[in-house]
Amino acid sequence: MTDMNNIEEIIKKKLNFTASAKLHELMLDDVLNAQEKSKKTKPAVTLPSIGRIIMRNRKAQLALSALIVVAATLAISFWDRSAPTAYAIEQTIEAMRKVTTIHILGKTWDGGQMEIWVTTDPETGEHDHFYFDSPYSTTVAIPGESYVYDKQTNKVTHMIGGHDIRSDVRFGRFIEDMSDVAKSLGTEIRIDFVFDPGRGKEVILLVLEHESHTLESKIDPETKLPLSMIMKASAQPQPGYYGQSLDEIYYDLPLPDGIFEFVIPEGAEVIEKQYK
Amino acid sequence: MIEDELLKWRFKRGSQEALRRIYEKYLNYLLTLAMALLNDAGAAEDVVHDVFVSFAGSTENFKLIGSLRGYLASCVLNRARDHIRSTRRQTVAAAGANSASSDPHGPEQSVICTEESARLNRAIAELPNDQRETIILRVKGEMKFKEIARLQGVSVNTVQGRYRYGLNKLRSILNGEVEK
Repeated sequence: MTDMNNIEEIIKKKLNFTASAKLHELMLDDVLNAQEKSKKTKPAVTLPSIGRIIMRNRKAQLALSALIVVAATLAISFWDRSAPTAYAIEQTIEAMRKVTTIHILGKTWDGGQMEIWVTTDPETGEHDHFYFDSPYSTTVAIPGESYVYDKQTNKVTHMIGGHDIRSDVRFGRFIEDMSDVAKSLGTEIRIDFVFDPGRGKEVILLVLEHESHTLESKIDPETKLPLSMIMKASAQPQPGYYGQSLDEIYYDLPLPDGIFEFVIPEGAEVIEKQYK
Repeated sequence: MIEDELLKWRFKRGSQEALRRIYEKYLNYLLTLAMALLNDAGAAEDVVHDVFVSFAGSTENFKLIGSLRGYLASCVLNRARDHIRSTRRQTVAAAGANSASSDPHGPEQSVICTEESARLNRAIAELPNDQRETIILRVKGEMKFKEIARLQGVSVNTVQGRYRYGLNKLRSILNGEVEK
């Protein structure tokens, strides 16, 4: 153990602590209760209407007027249906609602290969079935149960009931969610047309820029479906930290046999979790 | 990460599933950080518990621009520091009493690890606090030196020095164990 890099690697790979099933459950109860409690908690005193405060103050009135103008401008740039940009987004949202299976090939943040298969419910955009594989883990989720295999610790967590891992990320509603994420971050989706040398044709590029990262999605101008989604780090605060990419996305392909049937690897420890 | 951005957004809207997923995704990661910083299973559980409960209670006011993983790691670091400070005060107050337990396994084995992991953690626990923090945040927390410098309120050069000295010391501790 003489090499400094070796020690770093040992800490990275070997230093791992895991919560017991009992601790996991106890803590989760407290965490969910805390969330419920925070939702129910309302301010104890009734505050004067914000509108009344603003209208009593001349400077606040001017500021509010300016805010409304800015908000209206932003709303037009987001949603004006006559603009070519809004047209592309709506077409994509519509096209994605008709998709039933999605196959994704991509890379994890550190360059590892990952593969995803999902089937989506056209009504909700939620996943019926979900398969995810990367150098670190494999997840298979079907209605009512999920298997999560941690390859580094050789442990399988089998979750039955409440925790529906399939709905964690809605690829079938990704563009809709991207719009909502943009709004929640106080930014907007920029739309460009660019030539994609790899595909040998012009594609639509949706860009969600933020100070810490940029999310880019290339859209096929013919089918209007996303071809790729890539998260890039901006210069600050952690260049290179993000880098997860969904490089190739295919739609409505026939599912490989048994893709949603999880086989417990030999020698793996299985942790059962039953949710109410 | 894309998934984290969506989880943040759904959590902000009060999604219990999003909170559950964040918990599942980061519980063992945060527990490992807390164990490495504190080398005390009970204290690490308390720290991680408090971080998650506080996070869960912040749904209404939640506003996070940066990485969720980095944010939760910073919360663990701050609470671990609080714990260390409070333990130090208690130890001074009860001088002579045998107060702290360094057993990585609690009495009910609520935190599970391999023997190799426990041995490694014992060695890390011998490092001074600053060096231990730097190594853990850099290697397990995957933070940049610049970010660690900000958290520790020192220069990047100081952080790099702490990292280098810490690894050297850790190497000699581990080599010493092998020679025994």
